[in-house]
Amino acid sequence: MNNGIVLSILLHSTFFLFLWSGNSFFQNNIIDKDISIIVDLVDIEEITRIEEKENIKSEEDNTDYSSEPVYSNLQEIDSNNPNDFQEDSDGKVFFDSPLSSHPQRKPKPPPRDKFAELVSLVKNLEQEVKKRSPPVLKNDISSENKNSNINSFQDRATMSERDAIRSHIERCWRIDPGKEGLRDLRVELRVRISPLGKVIQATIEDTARYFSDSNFRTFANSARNAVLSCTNVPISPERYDIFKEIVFTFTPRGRIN
Amino acid sequence: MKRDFFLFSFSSVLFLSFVNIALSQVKIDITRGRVEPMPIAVAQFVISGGSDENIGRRISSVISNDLERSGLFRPINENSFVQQLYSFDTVPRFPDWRIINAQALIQGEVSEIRNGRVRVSYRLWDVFTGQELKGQEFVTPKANWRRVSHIIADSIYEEITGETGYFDTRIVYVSESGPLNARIKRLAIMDQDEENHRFLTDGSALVLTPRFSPTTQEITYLSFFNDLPRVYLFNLETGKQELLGDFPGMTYAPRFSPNADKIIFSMASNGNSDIYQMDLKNRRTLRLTDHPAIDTSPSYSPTNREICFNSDRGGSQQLYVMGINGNNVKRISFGKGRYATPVWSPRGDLIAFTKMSQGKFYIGVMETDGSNERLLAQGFLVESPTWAPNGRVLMYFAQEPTKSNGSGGKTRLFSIDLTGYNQVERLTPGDASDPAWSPLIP
Repeated sequence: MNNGIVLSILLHSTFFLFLWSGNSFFQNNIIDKDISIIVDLVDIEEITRIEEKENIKSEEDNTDYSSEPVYSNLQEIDSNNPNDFQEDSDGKVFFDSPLSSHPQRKPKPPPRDKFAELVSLVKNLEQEVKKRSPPVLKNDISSENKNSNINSFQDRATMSERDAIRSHIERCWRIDPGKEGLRDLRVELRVRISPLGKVIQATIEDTARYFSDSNFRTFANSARNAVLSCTNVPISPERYDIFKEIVFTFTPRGRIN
Repeated sequence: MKRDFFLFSFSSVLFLSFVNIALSQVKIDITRGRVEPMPIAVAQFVISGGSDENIGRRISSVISNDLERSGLFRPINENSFVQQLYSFDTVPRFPDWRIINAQALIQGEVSEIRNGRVRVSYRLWDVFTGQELKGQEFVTPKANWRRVSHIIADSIYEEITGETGYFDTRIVYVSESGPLNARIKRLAIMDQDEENHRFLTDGSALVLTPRFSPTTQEITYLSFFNDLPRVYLFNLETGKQELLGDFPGMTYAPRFSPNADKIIFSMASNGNSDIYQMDLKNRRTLRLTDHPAIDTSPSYSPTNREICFNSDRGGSQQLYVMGINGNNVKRISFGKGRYATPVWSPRGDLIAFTKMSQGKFYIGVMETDGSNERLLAQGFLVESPTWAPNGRVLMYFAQEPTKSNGSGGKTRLFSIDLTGYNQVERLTPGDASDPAWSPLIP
């Protein structure tokens, strides 16, 4: 009896310890509710970047910002923390982040009217974001947790990224619609991809069936050839860590083109 | 006790970690593809030992044509090859073959050995992995090079598709000649690639519905010899013809059982047509249907447990399935029009048929319970489907309408993939009807 209680406590402790350590899957619900915040802030960042570029051009600054990853410092953005938004003396807005590679700006003349418009726009968007965000959730999530949530979001493949990769591979897959038992065939491939989108390795998961079932083997080979013949898998080098290894499941239940 | 706790907590953490890793993995389902033949490179077979130079080119040409005609492969033009394989021992430079988009490569060699025999060797390579998928060697009389080519093509087809090939097979059919009102019909046979054509009967008696044995080189057919329509057997190896039996009525529409030990046929007697089965060992006949309607065109399932046939017992000509002893008769076709000549696929999953609807003829397939009917070919008159031994391809005949001036009316053979793709005319010296596909030649 006592042993059972102790085991139960231990199991629960382990489970909560696991949650507390920032497991991305168990935080999915929270992340999903918070997605709208991130999307809005991305728009703001884009606006600021455009503005930044224009100003840089006008100042004939030699610093090259075009090579900066667009979403490299998303996790440092907190719409509730005004300190995260800083403005320099020439009216540009940037995000202060330890990961950011922005150089410090030199003191410049007073801001122009254009900046005032931008700040106004940012404030409006902030207010809108606050309206949209459920207050209960915001109160429940500490800033540390929120950062980890944003991290988790960034660590996940988006639907559009998945769709792009899917349609790319589907174009390379030759399928034989008359193959015997086709509707019951399904093969998983573990695929390693280089940062430039080249397939480095494709491994068929079910090796036991591969060597024992000739019908499955030929189906698996067609899937493997599709992956190997598909060059330039559309992945962003900035998000390479997410897509360096993908598990594809080939199952011909969809429309055949 | 402490050890148990430790093990339990450790395994829990380990389990949850695995769950975490599995769920954070990017997984993408690929559910669509392109229907397109696979590009394959068939290099010319090299010659060694003083053999005829042309034989290498001919063998690779037959293999290439077989694969292309299946509709599943697209042989790459030899002129685009980056690497020339001058020796059978040369290991292919796979990047050179990937450049031309080849997915598989065949290289081979023909070498002359004594007494007019040749050794034919080949290797099938997977261009992407650089692995040898298959390699074989055949020693055969030189005159047999064409058959060896078909056997190699079958072997390659099977290795790449996972299904048995059908290139080393023959087609028996009814050759037609003469005016429409005095047609001469005789049995003819040819390889599935239309080579080695010859006639089996002289045309003195009208012949119809030849059917190949699924296991032997034997044919059963209907002949009007002495103006009596009866079922005969024809042994291709001995050339011997034999009357199946002396029956009181007209016998027709014969077909072998899957292991060729029985023949099922229709017999018309006293104005009624029913289905009978004869055991070829003891020649005993068993009546399977007993109905006032016309029951005909029986065909066994490959498992030898069921028989499909057509009957007008429901008011119109429809397809039915019954048990091997004639029990449990059930109708399976319910579409508009009339259905005839059902043939069970060697795979066992489909039944091919002829359909007549609104003045048009169709060749179609349906599942064995009558579901998922698909029409593959349509024409003025298309009829008599027959399956390739692997159940992948159908052959049938099509007749053009006859014009008012008496021209037209040509009857030709066609094959079509069961997906409805790759309709190919099978060329014959004259008009042709009633094709029947042989099993793989033993």
